[in-house]
Amino acid sequence: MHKLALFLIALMFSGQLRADILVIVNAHNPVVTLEKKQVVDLFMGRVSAFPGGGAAQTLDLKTGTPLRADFYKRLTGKSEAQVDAYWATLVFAGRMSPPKQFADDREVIGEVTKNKMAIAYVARQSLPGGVKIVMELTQTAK
Amino acid sequence: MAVNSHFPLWSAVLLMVATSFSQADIDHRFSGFATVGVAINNNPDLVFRNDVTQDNGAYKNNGFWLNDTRLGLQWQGRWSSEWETTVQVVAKDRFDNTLANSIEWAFIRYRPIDGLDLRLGRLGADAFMLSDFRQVGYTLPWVRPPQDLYGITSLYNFDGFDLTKRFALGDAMLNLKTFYGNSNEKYPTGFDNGQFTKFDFDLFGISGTLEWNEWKLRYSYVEVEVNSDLTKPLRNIWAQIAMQWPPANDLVTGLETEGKQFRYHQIGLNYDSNNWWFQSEYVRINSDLMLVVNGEHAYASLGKRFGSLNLYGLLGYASPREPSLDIPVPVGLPEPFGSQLNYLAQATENRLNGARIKQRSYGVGARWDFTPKMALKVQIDKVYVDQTGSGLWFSTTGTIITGDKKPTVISLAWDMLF
Repeated sequence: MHKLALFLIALMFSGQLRADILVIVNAHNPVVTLEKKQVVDLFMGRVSAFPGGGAAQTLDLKTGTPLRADFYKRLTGKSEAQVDAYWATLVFAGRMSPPKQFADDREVIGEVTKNKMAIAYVARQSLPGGVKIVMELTQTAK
Repeated sequence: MAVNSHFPLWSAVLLMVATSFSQADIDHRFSGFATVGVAINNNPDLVFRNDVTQDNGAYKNNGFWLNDTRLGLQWQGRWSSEWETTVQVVAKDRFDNTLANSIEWAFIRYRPIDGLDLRLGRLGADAFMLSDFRQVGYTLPWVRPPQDLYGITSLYNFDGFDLTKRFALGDAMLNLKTFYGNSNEKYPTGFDNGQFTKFDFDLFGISGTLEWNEWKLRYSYVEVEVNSDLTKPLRNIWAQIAMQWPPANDLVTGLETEGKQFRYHQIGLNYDSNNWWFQSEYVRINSDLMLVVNGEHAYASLGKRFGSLNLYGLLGYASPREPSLDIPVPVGLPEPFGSQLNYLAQATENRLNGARIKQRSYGVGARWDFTPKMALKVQIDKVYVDQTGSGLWFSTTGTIITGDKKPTVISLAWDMLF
């Protein structure tokens, strides 16, 4: 009985073990902070520019990367399969080209450091000077 | 105005594509989609077709692979944030299987500012809610877009332009679009017999899509003007008849196709809470041609996701808004004129009534996202096809379909993206 209770408690808290997610842009990007809805619009291909009007390029992790599923779930409530299906409607209708996909955080950060139009998400970590955080998706964020 | 068909826009776009490959600073993206599907229809008299462009399909439990199986490949070249080129090629079982027809899209997109898109070339005919991506099985919960409505959608693409403007309305987003262009398509007229009617048409449309939280509402209006004369021999005979039987003049006029229009009005509603979802559309056709029937088409689908499993139900409906054509041939005419007139009336009625669609359907199905970018689906549809409206189906024997039919269609599909 105690074991079961412990297991249930462990299950309840297991989600909180996952890291916070940071949404980052190039340090030279005039954007200081973004609201969740603005990040949703960018990553769901509804808009292709930052609120100030500058062209935006969303960077993505490869399908199947755990952080990717976590990011979209927290941002939109959608599963990775739903996000891929949604993006396929935009891509194959020829409305948007798909976000460029990278293998891991290191590659993503490298690209954001170089690309002034880039916006990406990474797990919480200490970041180099070439990028800045515009939003945080913490565990409590819905 | 017809867009010049001697040097089609899409071939101009392809030329640009060919030259663009030599330039270094273009960002190339390649992607694709595929479906492997099999449909099993238990009915021995009716051939199940996804839409009116197919001349073959499942019947008599033959387990047909080509209703849904297809492969799509797409290249997108991004020249800058303003300019992008897209080419999509789809390989599938087509009635008119030429390379030119396999080019689904080939266009240049110009985006001077975010929220304003102008596209020129071969474009998707965005007539209904799912039109733009209906061939991408992975985007749909069902095996295919509901046949009661999408079965009539003969327009896959056109050569012309479209213009889209986005407006932010508080939390909601409104997309307005207009398009204009020209297209042509061969519609098979019988089961695997090589015969067809070729339509050339200009189309113009507007659409508005409002997205607000979990909701999506869409309205569109499409006007199709037929450029082909499809009934000349038949009209000539009726014109002869009219000299002795004046009521035939109504038929001579009604059968005209060139320069005549038909119009679609579409309303669509989608709700998706990521848990429960609902999708429904209604289309009304208003036609000035006897060859295109005034009708109504609708479907509604409700589903719920359980993790990677998605279960749904589906209802479909299609009906003409006018009675079957019945030419009132007078009795007691001198022979052989009376017999000839009766024969001609029968042939004309068969041809025009054969295009009527009167059916309803009930379906259930499941989609399982078993691994990233792949889904397996199973769907069972029971269709009640009225004997006065079997236009979406072909007779397996080539003879007129008599009596109501109740085919059950079981479909399996494996969808993927890459």
